[in-house]
Order: sequence, then structure tokens, then C-alpha cells
Amino acid sequence: MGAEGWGWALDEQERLAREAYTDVVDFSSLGEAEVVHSVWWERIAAIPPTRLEGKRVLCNLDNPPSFLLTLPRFRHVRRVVSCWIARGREVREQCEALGLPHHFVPYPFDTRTFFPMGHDDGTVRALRTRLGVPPDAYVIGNFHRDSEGADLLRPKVQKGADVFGEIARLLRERGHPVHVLLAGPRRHFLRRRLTAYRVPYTFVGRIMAEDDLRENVLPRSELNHLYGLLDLCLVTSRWEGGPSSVAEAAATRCRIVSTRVGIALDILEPRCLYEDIAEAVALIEEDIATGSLRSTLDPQHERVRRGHGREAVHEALRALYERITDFAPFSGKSRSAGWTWSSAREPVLVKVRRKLLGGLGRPPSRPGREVISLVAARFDPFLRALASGLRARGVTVLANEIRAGVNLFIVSPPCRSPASSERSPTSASPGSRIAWASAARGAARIAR
Amino acid sequence: MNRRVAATAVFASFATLCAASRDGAGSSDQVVIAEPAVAHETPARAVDGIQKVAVAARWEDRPCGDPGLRRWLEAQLDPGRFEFRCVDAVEATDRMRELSGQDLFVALPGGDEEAGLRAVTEALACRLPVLYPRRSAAGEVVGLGGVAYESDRDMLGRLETLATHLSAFRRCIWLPSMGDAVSAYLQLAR
Repeated sequence: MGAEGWGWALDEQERLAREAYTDVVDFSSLGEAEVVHSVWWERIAAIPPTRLEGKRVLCNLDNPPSFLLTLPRFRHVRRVVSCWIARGREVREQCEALGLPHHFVPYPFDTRTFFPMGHDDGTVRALRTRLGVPPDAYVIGNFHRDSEGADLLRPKVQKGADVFGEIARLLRERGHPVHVLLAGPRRHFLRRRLTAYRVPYTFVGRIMAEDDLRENVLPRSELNHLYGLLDLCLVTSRWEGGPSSVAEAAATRCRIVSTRVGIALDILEPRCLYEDIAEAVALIEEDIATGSLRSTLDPQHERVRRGHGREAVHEALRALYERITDFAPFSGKSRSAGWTWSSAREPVLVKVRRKLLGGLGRPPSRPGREVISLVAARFDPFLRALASGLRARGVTVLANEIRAGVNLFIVSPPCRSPASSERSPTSASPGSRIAWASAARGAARIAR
Repeated sequence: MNRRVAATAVFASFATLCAASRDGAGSSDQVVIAEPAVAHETPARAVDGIQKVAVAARWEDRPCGDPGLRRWLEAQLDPGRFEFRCVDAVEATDRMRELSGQDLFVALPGGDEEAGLRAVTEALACRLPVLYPRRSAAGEVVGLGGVAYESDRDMLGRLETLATHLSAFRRCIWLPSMGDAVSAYLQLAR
């Protein structure tokens, strides 16, 4: 479970996970399932926790924990999940640092759909002519969604379309015949930015001002042709669980440079990774001048073919189920008072041959007019701004009031004195603020 | 205290959370809510020939960076290329006003680590690209809005890289907003 239904990355992940599960599990409905496996944590958040009691819950980390922990809703799911599926080194290391139970399953990738074609392939040459891509251009691109769904003129921060625009502009300014190839839905921001920067580009799809998610999702076979047309796949993401484009570029023997994120750290040669835009520009300039990235193609292709195909994923999932009893089923116990969820699609789930015990669930709570009390010895500028921001959203904000009827106490630890090496009890975690999410429990504890 | 009474412990950065996890402070729910700079954001000035390099001596009343390294950097900068400014104000509005007149910011190791991180956040809020030590938590905040250095041996070369592409780095600065922090706390209340 966990797909979005748009035929994009998460849907592909679910399809490939189902394939890899062949001979490992029987699929069943949620009620009958002993193990629930979601490729997206939001789908777990959408299931009433009582329905997960006693089940072992597996969930792919679609993004690194360093990002997911910035989403307060994620904390509920963290408590429910028995084992996180880490698909790369970065995620695995973060799970270890945080003590999250996890198992490594390679990022699944369809090696049948993506294969090398190259510039000389007849289909690719015809495509280049049809799209009007100049014959002498150095073609860079990616096929990510780069714009926010809620506001298509804003870049999706994660994908770094702003960064892509800067790199393309710098290359043009330095006299390189760069031409950008874009495909897929929600490319609005980058199209506008490239136009403003006078960087020539070709968009494969129907240009629409409104959301084109239903219109411009391309068949994967067509994406494969487009990788054949690229001279360089440029990944500019700020954080990633994938991205699929890293595996796709490697499988199609397309040159690629990427920020140090996600599976790029596992699949790409170290010299294909960059830390800042100046380094990216230098890497690309060297490739334009000398073809320096050609020698990275063989090892990357081999890595993705051997390490991320159906067999590798199948083996890792089998190994996971051999140790499934190492992971505790969801007991239903929870420290947080609040647990809300949206209506869930009834998912198809996984059943293994083991009967598990149930536990206690929690009822949903409905958001209403919140009362928040800020508790601090000193109200620093952040706390003052937080208070006025909360008030602007209709929240009643109290200062150092400890009483019933408060939804949340935000307790700020005192700053350490620079003159003293002693730490107060609350500064054991520098930079932390303490929040009670339960009025009754929080107030009662303070009163004691 | 987090362990005993808090339902949720809120950390200002992932690095801080990891440090707390290493210390065994892990029983309550954990979230990361970045604390953005709160003084008003001022547009960065147009860059002319000489670029203005800012470092922080303190954030509020807490020391930032190694003073010896600060003096070393000031002595090393080519006065024909760079103008050095040490920001030393205690009040946030004064610091932001000083920072807004600069072109780029150098984060130095040493001093109070959390204060150093907050100084970096304020510099980014003033649209200053940041040169930061690679082995520090600053990278998490700076992201693609700056350049990392390893030690004093490569610091000046990396500063030159940052200065060369200053406008491009400036446009890659991304910071969570106060509105993001408010939304996150509001979610904790629900």
C-alpha cells in the first residue's frame, strides 16, 4: 500500500515491491493481515491505529529521517512502525543514529523498462529532430516534479529547481551551449525561471498554466528515450529518499551529477557528487570539455543492475521476513494524547504466516480552538514571534500559566550562561524546547 | 526533564536531536522545528567591487567562533577584494541591521555551538551566503546557500569560490519561515 495513483515514483515503488514479494507473502485485506507494508508513511497515518493493533507494520522511508522529523505528524507513525525499510546508506546511518528499528532493502528499480539507448539510436535521433533540440547542444535535464502543487509558481524546495536554474544560467554565462530538456508534470517554476534567464529549453508535454498532473505524466518507456537524448542528468535536490532518476540515469548509461542525497550516495561514483553549485558547474564544464564523466558509466550501470533489480530486492525482503519476529508488533500504547487521521482508502495488505497479538488503540481528537501556554524564564525573540504568530492563527496564547484547559505547554529551557560550565537540567539537550501535548497530563505533572 | 514529563521534545536541528539521542534522551516523541530568525528581513545590498565579509563575535550574550581564528581571517583577507566586519551586537534588530549591509558571512568553529548556528540563521535571513566549517551543524541550515571549508588551509580558496558566484548562491538560500514554525507547533497542539 501507499501509492498515490498518478503513475509516478510512489506508484512505481508499490508496483515493484509487490513484484518482489512474490513467494514471500500472501496478500490480504487490512483486517486479516499480520504484517502491513506501506511504501509511504502518510498511508499509515491515514489508518486508525486501532486497526493496526497487534500487526507488524513495515514502512519504506521515502525521505531521510532528518526531513521526516520536521513533520510533526510523522511522530505518530514513528510509534506505530515496527520496522523501517531503509533503501540507502544515508537513511540507514540516520536510523542507526536515532535508534530506529530498520532493515535494508535496496531501492527497487525496473531494469526491464530502463536500458541504454544512446545518442546514435535511431529512435533517439528521430526524437531529437522532432523536438528541435539543436544538434550541437549539450543537453541537461531531469524529469522531476519541480513546482509546488499548491502554488505552481513556487519551486518545490526539496527538488532544488532554483538550484538547477542557477547552474544552467552559470553554464550559459560561461559560454557553454547548454540546452535544457524537461519532461513530466509540474515543471512550471523551472520553465519560467529558464525563460527569465534566457536559457533555451525544450519541454516534452503540453504547456498549461494550471496543474498538469493528469496531463503530462509520461510512460516510462518514453522517459527511457529521453534519457538517451540527455548528455547529462542533473539532480539538484536538497534531500531525497531516492530519487528514481539516479537509478534511471545509471541504468540508461546517462551521465549524471547529483547533490549528495539519497541513493546517489550508493549508486554514483564519488566524482559525480557535488556539494555546492560552484562544484557542480566545474564538474559539468570538465565533462563538456573532456567527456570526463564517461568513465563513470560502467560502474554505475553495473551497480544499479546488480544491486537494485527485482532479485536483489526479493532477496532483501525474504531476509526481512526471516527475522520479522525481531520487530515488535504495534501494541497500541501511545504517549501522545492527540492522534488524528484522514479517511483512508482501504488498502490491500500483506499477510504472513504468523498470528500476532493485539493491543489498545486511541480515539481520534478533533482540532478546535487551541490554548497554548508558553513557559519560559525569559521570552527570547523567537518565543515572542511564535506567540504573535500563534495569536494570528486564532490561538489563545498564555505566558507562564499552568492550568487546566491548555492544549499544549511549550516549555523553553533556560540558556546556558556563557560564564558557567554547569548545565541546567533542561539544557541536557541544547536547542530543545519541551512540549506537552496533553492538557490534563501536562498540567497535572506540573502541579505536582 | 524531557524524558520525565514531555510528550514531545522539540529540537532546533537534526544534529541537535542526534546528539541528544547519543546521550540517551530518547523516550519522548521527537520533532525538529527550526527556529527562524525573527527580525525583519532586509534585501541584500547590490554587490560592488569590494565584498563585505561578516563574522559573528556573539549571538545575544553567547560567544560565537574562535577569536584567534577571527583575527587570523581578518589579517588574511586581501583589502583590495574584501572588507572585514565583526558583528558584535546583542540585540537582534541591531545584528540584522549590521548583517544586511554585508555581502557574505563566515561561520567559524569554536564558541557556543548553538549560538553559532543561530548567527548563521540570521545571516541567511539577511540573504548572506555562508562559508561554514564542513564538520559542523551549520551545513544542515546553510544547504545550497553556501560553501563548506575543511580547515584554515582551504578557507580562503573556498571564500573566493563563494565570492565569485555570490548572486547565484544568494538565490539558492532557503530557510523555513516563522509561519512554518507556527504551523508545526500548532500541529503539536492538535
